[in-house]
Amino acid sequence: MRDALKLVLTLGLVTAISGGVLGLFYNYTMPIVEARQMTDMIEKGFKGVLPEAHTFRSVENGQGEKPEGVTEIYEGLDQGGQRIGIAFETAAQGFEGPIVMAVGVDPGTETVVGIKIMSHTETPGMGARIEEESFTNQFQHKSLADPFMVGSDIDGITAATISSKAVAGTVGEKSRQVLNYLGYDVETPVIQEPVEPEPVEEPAETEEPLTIDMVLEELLPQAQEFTQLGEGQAGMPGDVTVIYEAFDDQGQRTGLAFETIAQGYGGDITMAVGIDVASETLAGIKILSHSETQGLGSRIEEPDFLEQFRGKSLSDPFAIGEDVDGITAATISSEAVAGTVGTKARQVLDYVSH
Amino acid sequence: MAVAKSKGEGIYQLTLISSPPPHIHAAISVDRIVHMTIASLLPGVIWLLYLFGWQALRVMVLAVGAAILTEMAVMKLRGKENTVYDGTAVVTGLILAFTLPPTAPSWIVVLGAVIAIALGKQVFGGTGCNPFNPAIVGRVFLGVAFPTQLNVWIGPHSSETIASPLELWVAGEALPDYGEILAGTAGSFMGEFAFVALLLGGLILILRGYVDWRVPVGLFGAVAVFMACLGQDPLWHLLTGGVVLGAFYLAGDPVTNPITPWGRLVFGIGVGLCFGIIRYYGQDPDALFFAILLMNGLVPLLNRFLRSRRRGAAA
Amino acid sequence: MQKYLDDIVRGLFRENPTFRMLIGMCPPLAVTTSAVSGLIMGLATTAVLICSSTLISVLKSLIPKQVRIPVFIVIIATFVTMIDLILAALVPDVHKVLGLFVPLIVVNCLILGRAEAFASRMPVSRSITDALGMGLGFTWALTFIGCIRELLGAGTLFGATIMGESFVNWQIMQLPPGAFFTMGLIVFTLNLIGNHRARNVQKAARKQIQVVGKEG
Repeated sequence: MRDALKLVLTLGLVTAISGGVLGLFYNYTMPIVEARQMTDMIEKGFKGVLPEAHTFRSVENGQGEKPEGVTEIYEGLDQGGQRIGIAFETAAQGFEGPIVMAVGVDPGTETVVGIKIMSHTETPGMGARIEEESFTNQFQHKSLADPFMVGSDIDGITAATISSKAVAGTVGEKSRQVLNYLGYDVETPVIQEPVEPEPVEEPAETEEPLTIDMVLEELLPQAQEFTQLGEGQAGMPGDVTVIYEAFDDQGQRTGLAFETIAQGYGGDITMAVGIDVASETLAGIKILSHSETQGLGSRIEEPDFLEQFRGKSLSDPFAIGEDVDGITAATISSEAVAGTVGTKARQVLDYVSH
Repeated sequence: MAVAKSKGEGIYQLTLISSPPPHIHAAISVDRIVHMTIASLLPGVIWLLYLFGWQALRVMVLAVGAAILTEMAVMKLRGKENTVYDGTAVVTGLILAFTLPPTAPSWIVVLGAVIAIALGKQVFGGTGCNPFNPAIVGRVFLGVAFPTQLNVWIGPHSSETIASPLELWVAGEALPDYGEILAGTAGSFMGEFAFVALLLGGLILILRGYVDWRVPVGLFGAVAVFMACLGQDPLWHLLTGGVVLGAFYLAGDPVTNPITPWGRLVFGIGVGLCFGIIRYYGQDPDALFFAILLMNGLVPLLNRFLRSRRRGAAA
Repeated sequence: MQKYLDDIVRGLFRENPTFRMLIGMCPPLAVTTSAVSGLIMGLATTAVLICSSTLISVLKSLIPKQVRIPVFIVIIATFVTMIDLILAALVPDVHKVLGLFVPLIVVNCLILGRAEAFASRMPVSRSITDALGMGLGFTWALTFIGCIRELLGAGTLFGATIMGESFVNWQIMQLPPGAFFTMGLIVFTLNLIGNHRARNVQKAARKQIQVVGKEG
C-alpha cells in the first residue's frame, strides 16, 4: 500500500511539475508567436494581395456570423485612411491538408485583387505547384461574378486537380462571404456543374478576345485602307459576320477580309480570312477564338497548320488529307477550319462581286 | 515447411518453400529461358527499329549496355562470380527499353537501367531472387522521378509529337481504331507500338512453357471484364496501354510469379484489375507498371494462401 | 577524459543511431526533403536528448523502478513541447517546415532508448556526453540524407542552387520513396566499407598468425 502510494505520488508530482513548467512557457511564448504570425500575415500575405494599401487594420465586426474558415479579416487603407480593399486569411481543404492563403478583394469593383498561398502540405511537384505564379496570377482582378471553377474559368494544374479546385473554389466562395459579412452585397453566380462523364472542355482563352479589326493588316499587309461592308446585312453568306474591303493607294480594291465561324469539336471556332481578289487566292487566315481541347484541337492555332492556306487557290477542294494536312488527333477541328475557309471564301467573293 | 514458418520468411520464401511437384522450372535452365526470351523479343525490336529508326536503337543499346555494366559492377562489388553471361541483364535492359518512349533522354535511359539492375535485382540477391520485376522497378522509378520527360510521344516515321491513345481517351477525342493500333501508328511507350510482334513473341514463350498461360489469360480476362463492366470497349483497352507487353514479359516473368498454378491465375487477374482501376480512375500512363509492381509485392501472400496443401491434393 | 571522448565518437560513427543502429527511423525518412530541415530536426532532437538524459540521470535514484518509463516519457514530452514552443516563437519558418514532426520527437525511440539504456544507469556527466554524441550522430545523418535528397530532388544545397540550368529535378527524391532509396543506399555503402575493413583486419590477423607460426 505504501509502495503504491509512493508510485502514485511520484507520477503525480512529475506530471504536475511538467504541467506547471509548460504552462509558464506557453504564456511566455504564445504572445511572441501570435504577434509574429500576424506581422507575417500582413507582411508576406496581405501586402502581396493588396499592394496598393498603405496600412492594414483589423476588422472585427460585421453582419451576422463571421464566415466559417475565415480566420482574419483586415481592411487595407490608403495614406488618407480610406478603405481601398479587404484582405483576409482563409484555408482550403487540399489533397493532403489545409492550404492557408491570403486573399485581397476590392469591394468597389467586386473583384479579387490577388491571392497568395501562405502554407500547405501538398505533394511536391504536383499539388505544391498551386504556389506557382502561373496559377495564382489567374486570380488577379478576377470578378466575383465568375464561377471560380477549374476547367471553366480557371486553368487547373495538371495532376493536381484536387488542390487547384480547392483553392479556386475557396477563393471565390470566401471572398463573396467576407464581402457580404462586411455589408457589401455580392451575388453568388449560378454555377453550372460540368456534365459527367463528358470530358471537361477547355475554356476559351480568358484574354481579351481578338476581333477581325486587330488582324486586318496582318491578313492583307499590302492594303492601305479598309472599309467595312456592313454588319449583318441582308444577303450576306451565312455565318459570315463582318466583311472588309481592302484598297491599295490608288483606291483599287485588292483584297477582302471577313470573319466567320466554323463548328469545331469543342464549340465555335471564330476566324478571320483574307482573300486576294485579283488571283482569287487566300492571303491568309487567323484563328480569333476557339474552345478546342488544349494540346489537341487547339493546335489549329499553330503556324504550321495555318500557313498552308496562304496563297491557296479558291478552286482547291480544301479537304484534309488531299490538299490540306490535318493535325494528328484533331481531325474534327482541322476539317472544320479547312472546309469552312474554302466554302465561305468562295461565297464571300461571290457576294461582293455581285 | 518448418523453414518457411521461421523468421526468414518474406523475400527468401521462394527458395525455401517446398511445394508439391511438378516443378515447372526444374527442367529448364536459366540460359534457355533467357535465349528464348531474347529471341522472342526480336520481332518487336526489328519492328520498332523500322518505326523509329536510330532513336529506338539508341534507347535499346543504352538500356542493355547500362544493364550489363551495372550487373558486372555490382557483382564485382559483392565479390560474387560474374553472372553477366547468363544474359538476364540483357533481357532486363531490353524490356526496360520497351517501356520507354523513343524520345527518352539518354541519361534517363541509363539511369533507369542502373536502378533496374542495382535496386531491382542485385540488392535482393541477384538472378532469381528478386521479388519485383527489375525492369518495372527501373521504369516506375523513372516514371515517378521524370514524368514530364517520359510523357512525350513521338509518332512513328516522323519527329512530330502525337497524343497517346490514353490522352485521346481522357480528352474524349476520336480514338485510333484497331487497325491503327495493330499497324503500330498509335501508342505511347515503345512496347505499345509493337502489339503484333509482342503478341507473337509472347505466344512462343507460352508454347515453350517459359511463361505460364494463366498469367496472361488472367490479366487479359480481368482487363476485359473490368472495362466491359464500366461500359468501355474491352478490346480497345486490351490493345492499348501496353497490356500485351505487361502480360507476357513483365507480369509473366516466372521469377516474380507465385509458385502454384492457382496463384499465378490469381496473380494475373490481380494485375488486370489493378491496371483497370489505375487506368480508368487514375488515367495514369504508367498504370500497367504500378499494377504489376503492386501484385509482385503480394506474391508471398499468394504463395501462403494458395499453396497446395499436400501431395496429390487438387491444386 | 578518454571515456567522454569515446561516448561522443561512438554516437557519431560506430553506433550511429540512424545508419548503424537504425533506431528512430521516422524523422530520417519523413523530414529530410532538404538539408536545412534535416539539420534543424537533428538539432531539435539533440536538444531534447541532452535535456532529458541529463534530468533523468540526475533523478535516477529518486524514480521508482516500476514507474520509470511513464516518468521518462513525461520528462521527454515536457522538453519536446518546450522546444516546439521555442521553435514556433523564434524560427517560425523552420517550425512550419517541420510541422507535426517536432511533437513526434516524443515517440522517437532514440531518446527513450538512451534514457533507459544509458542515462538511468550512468553518472550525469557521461549521460550528457552520450546524449551529445548520439544527438550529433543523429543530426549529421539527417543532414546528410537531406543533402542528397535536396541535391537530386531540387538541384540545391541548403537552398543554394548547385546544379546547372540543364539539371532535371528527380521528383522521386522529394517524395517518400526517395527517402527509402537514399537511406538504403547509405546503409549499404557504410556496411560495404565496414565489411571491407573487417576483412582487412582479419587478413592482417591471419598473416600475423602465419608469421608467428613460421617463427615458432
